[in-house]
Amino acid sequence: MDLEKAAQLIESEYQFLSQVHPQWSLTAGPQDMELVAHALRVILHLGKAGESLPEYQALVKAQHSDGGWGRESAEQESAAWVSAFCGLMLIRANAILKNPEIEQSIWKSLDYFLKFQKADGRWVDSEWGDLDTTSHPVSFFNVVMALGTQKMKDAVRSSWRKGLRFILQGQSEDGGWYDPVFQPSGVETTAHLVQDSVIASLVLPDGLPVRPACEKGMLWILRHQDPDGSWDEKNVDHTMDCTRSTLLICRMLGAQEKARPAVEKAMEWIVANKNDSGWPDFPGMETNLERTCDGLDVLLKYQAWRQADPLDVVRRWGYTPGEPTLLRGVEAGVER
Amino acid sequence: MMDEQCRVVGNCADLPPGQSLLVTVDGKEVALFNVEGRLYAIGNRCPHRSGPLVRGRVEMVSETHSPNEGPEILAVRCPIHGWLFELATGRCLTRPNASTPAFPATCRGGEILVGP
Repeated sequence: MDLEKAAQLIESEYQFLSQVHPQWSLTAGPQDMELVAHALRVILHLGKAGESLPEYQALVKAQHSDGGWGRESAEQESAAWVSAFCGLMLIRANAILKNPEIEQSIWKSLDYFLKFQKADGRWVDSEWGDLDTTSHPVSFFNVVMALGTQKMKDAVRSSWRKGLRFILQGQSEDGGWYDPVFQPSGVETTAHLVQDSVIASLVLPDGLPVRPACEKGMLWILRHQDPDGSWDEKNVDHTMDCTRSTLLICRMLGAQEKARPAVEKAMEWIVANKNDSGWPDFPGMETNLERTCDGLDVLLKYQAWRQADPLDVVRRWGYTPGEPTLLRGVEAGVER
Repeated sequence: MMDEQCRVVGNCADLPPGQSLLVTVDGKEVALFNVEGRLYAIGNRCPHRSGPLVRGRVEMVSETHSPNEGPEILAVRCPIHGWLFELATGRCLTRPNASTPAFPATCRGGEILVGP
């Protein structure tokens, strides 16, 4: 895909997202918290967190006393999946904002996950499968291990490892992760879990067997791509998930040439199936703002993937690795 | 029971066995499914995140939606987050308090009829 075209799309789609700001911002009123978190991720990746403090303060204000967030900002009950996404957005933004109120909120969020983890390492959420639910706190803790204070790292380390172990043990022989209740096809679950696993491997001090799991996961994703470049019967959400995962994993495994045709075909499909403004859940449907945020996120990650520095794409997952944290055994793929 | 309140929403030829079809009835999206010659009609939007059920996979699942457990139910799986809905009733098997409306539907004289 032409990088200039990607840049133009990012600009025009972000302009659209800004125009509909009252539809996703907590500063404008009650919102769907998944949408809020998706939009805040776009703000982060566009480098606009520093000028968006009120958005993050509103997120802090919407936090419940138990440290979690509801699926809707007005909902009283906390939910694990969206709470992890919110906590993740706060810790990533606060690497820039350095706001004490936000730091306190991050601590509350950590306490929520430490309190509600099950003995075998999983987290549960009635609206998501256990594997998918668990991948989100693990993803949050990945970034805590990278960007958090030493005290935060010490607090989550054991829980994070247990969560990651639960994920790795849930991988099937064929490389996919399946959820018999929510995602028997395995497409979305595999895309979510493989990216969280590979990021975890960057910060693991003593290494769980993550590399073979990620290699198998990436091959599974590539095998399941449809000939037109999409995944899961033209499912825009799942195609974006699989594309993002492939961008990250192939770069970290040094397998970008192997994955390039799949990535380019997927990007072509994603761009071809965009509405005039924003993306739909399926081609031809109305624009969905959450999907629009995903579309922007894919374009931003693709931009990073095309850069010479292999760590650029890793940074789009909120992780800025330093010298001692190279992916064990994958130094050929990620060098610094 | 199909009666005069039924609406003609399309041609039976447009909905062969194994296929689904999106139609609009009184301004509302209805997902039609032809499962081995029998038609089912339910509200198209999943109450969770508005996923289009017409794009979902039709599956035989148990009441607890676990394999080999209890009597099987014909259901459609939302393509977004995997919630399951019984095709005959619209009842959500994933979340007991959620549902999508179900409507009587049949094929008569080459036309698809959907009831209120």
